[in-house]
Amino acid sequence: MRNRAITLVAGSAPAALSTLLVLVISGLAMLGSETTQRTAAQMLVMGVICVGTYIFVGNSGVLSFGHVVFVAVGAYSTALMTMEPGLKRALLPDLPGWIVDLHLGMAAALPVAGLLALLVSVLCSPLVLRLDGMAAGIASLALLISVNVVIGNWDQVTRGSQGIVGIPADLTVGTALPWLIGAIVLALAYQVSASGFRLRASREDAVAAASLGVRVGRERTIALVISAFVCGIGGGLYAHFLGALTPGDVSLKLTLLALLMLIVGGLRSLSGAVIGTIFISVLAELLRRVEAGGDFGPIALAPHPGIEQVVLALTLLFTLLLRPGGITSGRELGHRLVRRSSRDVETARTEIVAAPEPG
Amino acid sequence: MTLLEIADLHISYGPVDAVRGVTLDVEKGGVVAIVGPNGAGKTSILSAVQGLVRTRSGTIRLRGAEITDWSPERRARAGIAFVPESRGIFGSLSIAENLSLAACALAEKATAAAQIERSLELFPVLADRLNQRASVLSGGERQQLAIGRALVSSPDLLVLDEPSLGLAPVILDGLFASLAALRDEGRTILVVEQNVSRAVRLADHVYSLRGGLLERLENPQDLVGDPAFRAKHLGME
Amino acid sequence: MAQNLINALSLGSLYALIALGIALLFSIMGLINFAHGELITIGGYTLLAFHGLPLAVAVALTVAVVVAAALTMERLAFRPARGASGETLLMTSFALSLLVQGGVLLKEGADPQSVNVLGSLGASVDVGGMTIGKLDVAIIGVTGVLLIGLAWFLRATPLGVQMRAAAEDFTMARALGVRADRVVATAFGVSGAFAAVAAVFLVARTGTLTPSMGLTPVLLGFVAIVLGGLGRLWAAAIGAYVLALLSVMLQAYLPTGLAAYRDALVYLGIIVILLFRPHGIAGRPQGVRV
Ligand SMILES: Nc1ncnc2c1ncn2[C@@H]1O[C@H](COP(=O)(O)OP(=O)(O)OP(=O)(O)O)[C@@H](O)[C@H]1O
Ligand SMILES: [Mg+2]
Repeated sequence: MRNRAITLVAGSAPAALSTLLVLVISGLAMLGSETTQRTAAQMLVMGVICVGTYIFVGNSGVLSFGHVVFVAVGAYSTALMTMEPGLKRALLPDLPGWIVDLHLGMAAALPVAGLLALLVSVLCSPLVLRLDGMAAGIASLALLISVNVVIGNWDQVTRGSQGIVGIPADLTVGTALPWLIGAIVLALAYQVSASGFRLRASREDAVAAASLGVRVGRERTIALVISAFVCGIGGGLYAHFLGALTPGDVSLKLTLLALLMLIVGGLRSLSGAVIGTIFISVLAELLRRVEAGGDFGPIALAPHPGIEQVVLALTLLFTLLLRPGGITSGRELGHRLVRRSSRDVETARTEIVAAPEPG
Repeated sequence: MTLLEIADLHISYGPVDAVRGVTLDVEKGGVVAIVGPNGAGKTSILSAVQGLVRTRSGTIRLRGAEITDWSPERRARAGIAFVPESRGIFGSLSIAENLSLAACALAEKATAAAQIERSLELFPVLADRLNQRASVLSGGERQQLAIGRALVSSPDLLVLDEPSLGLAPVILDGLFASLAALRDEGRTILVVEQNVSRAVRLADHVYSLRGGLLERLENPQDLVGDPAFRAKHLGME
Repeated sequence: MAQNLINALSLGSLYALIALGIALLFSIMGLINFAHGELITIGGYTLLAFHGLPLAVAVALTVAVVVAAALTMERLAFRPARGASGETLLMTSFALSLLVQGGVLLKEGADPQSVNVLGSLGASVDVGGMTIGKLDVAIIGVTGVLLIGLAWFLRATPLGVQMRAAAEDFTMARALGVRADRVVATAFGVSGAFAAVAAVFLVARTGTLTPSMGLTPVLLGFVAIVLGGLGRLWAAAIGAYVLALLSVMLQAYLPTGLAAYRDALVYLGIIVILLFRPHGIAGRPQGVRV
């Protein structure tokens, strides 16, 4: 009983600290210019997507390029729920009548979008049940591409490659923030749950965990559906951030950006997902400004498209080579506060599988 | 002269301490055998000599030079040849290709053909089947190929992990006769062997490894004769 | 029909060059090299830079540049990461891919550029009533020669035998004295050379260059490898020809309503194959990797 309580306290420290970090940065951003606020809103959206992806990838250790599929489902379904019916009728004349007539606010539409993404994830669950490692990576990549092709051609619903316009682009820091905090809390709740604990044990050593009676497939599925739910909500927020959706918005590029944030922050901790999102968002925004050119006090720069991508790629590369655990290196924020209790089974397990490496 | 010196070697796999401070010298031209129960850490020591596992602490020296941080290929080129428990046969390569592979550790490539010829004389079964894929070989034949291949690189130190494993008695006789021949030729051999009577007959020195700790046996013959002694060093039987 | 067959053979040869370049590295070091696509991009833009030189010279220079790029990638990014998990290697290759793409974007801009490398290859010949493009003949012929050359290299040279051994069990090969660095660098070199030739043919077929031109070929290369079997070199080539045949046939015979979904069908097919055969149709589980 007491142990359980300690674990909970120890476990909530990272969430509390991550949330605090997000709050501080959002607060600062609200004082800034309109561009700054927009960047902050985008950061919050990416935060939801990264936390959602983390719930599965971080806890299971299975690489997924497919989570943008859930983002896509969330984004397009939210758009169809929150757009003006008149606009929908004009843009998508072949849409069934009841969808056309649907007109929800963003807050009402997002949970529905999350649930739709969750349904799709149930359909995808055989992938994570049966596949591991490289095969899982390739299969999720293949899934992403085929879904992208479908989105790009399903003119009746997605308007194909032309994309949907006229989604209320009303997302602000204030309306996005609660969703990110909710996502962090949900991720944490999963992480400290018995199921989350078992899944992380299987991440460290699948064979040992299975021999202890952990049903890896079941735990992975649970993580997948929760993670898809959060990603779906992230997608909905993304649609309201962009105001328009094309297949390119939910393609491999977005997957790579989310993975980049996760890896740079630290793939194996919730704080890593949050810190990575903040770090890369800020860096990317600075780079975009440099890239766009203009006068920066004494220095004037010509526009240089490509700089952002080059620097972000180098950041990822150096992280992988020099600090493979990312900024947080697998630790949670505030782990020092609770070191005695958090030096728990998990750390022990990490040591068990620090597999020997041939010279 | 001491060919191989292992000093205070520690090997861990996570929290499992497999080898806990092993010190062992192998003289040039000598044969050292290690016996011990399953899981004692025998394979770990041999793998560390070839550089296939990371050591936690301790040093390994070959002819006085420290090789602890050397890559496996560098050790092979410096004269160590390893026959692992699993034999390490390349099933998709032909028998001839398996043999020729070891020639890349030879200082003088020109002698490769002669070396291969010698191994084939030692293990004539291989000679008739040079162009077959190694995956078709039986367990005993694989073992002969593995040892024959190790000899192609003309190693100063031959490291063998359980050479008798899974071999029929008749083949065993041949195998140990050839190991004895190698010994008499002046080769240095470090061998892990469960077949105690043969190990005792072959080796100059016998060590017992239990729970990652090494102990020199003054009277290794007792392993054959004394059931209590046997049980102590080889585990319950 | 025969026309389709030639088309499939030519396309399959192109895919085979790409797939083999990727499969070679995968079989030896468990690396799924996403940046292989960017080697093709580098090849394409190099060809543009040397436009105007005699074709043979331009191609030779392109091969040299791409091989150098592949070796640089190996030395600077993959060698330090050697021994890392397959996922880490894959992410490293993603980082490289983004890096090269960004670099090309920075230098050449995002707009498509066109280049005509064909010259006299643009013509076609009449064979028994069929018009066959000289380019198709060149692609099929050159690929054939390269595949035979690779097979010879792997069978008949010591380094080739070492590469096959390393593909089966890298650790054991090293224990026998096989130099890991040399084997891996050679694999990257061959992979780069194949990517360069593929780039020449690709650009000759399409005539356009964009910074992200490598994406589709590398994805098709993956598909071919999965179709054939992960970790098996020649299976990848077979997978490439099967994939080309499939897509030419689907293109020709799929009802127009579904034609747009062809790629989706192909990728879904990959998922189904992986679900039932996680190591590919003819694949086998990978051994220990260093
Ligand atoms: N790669 C590994 N990961 C984790 N533990 C390992 C690994 N290799 C060996 N061990 C453990 O280290 C200990 C020593 O193993 P080792 O293979 O050296 O024993 P051994 O004496 O060769 O046994 P056997 O007679 O069965 O071959 C064992 O407890 C084993 O479980
Ligand atoms: Mg052993």
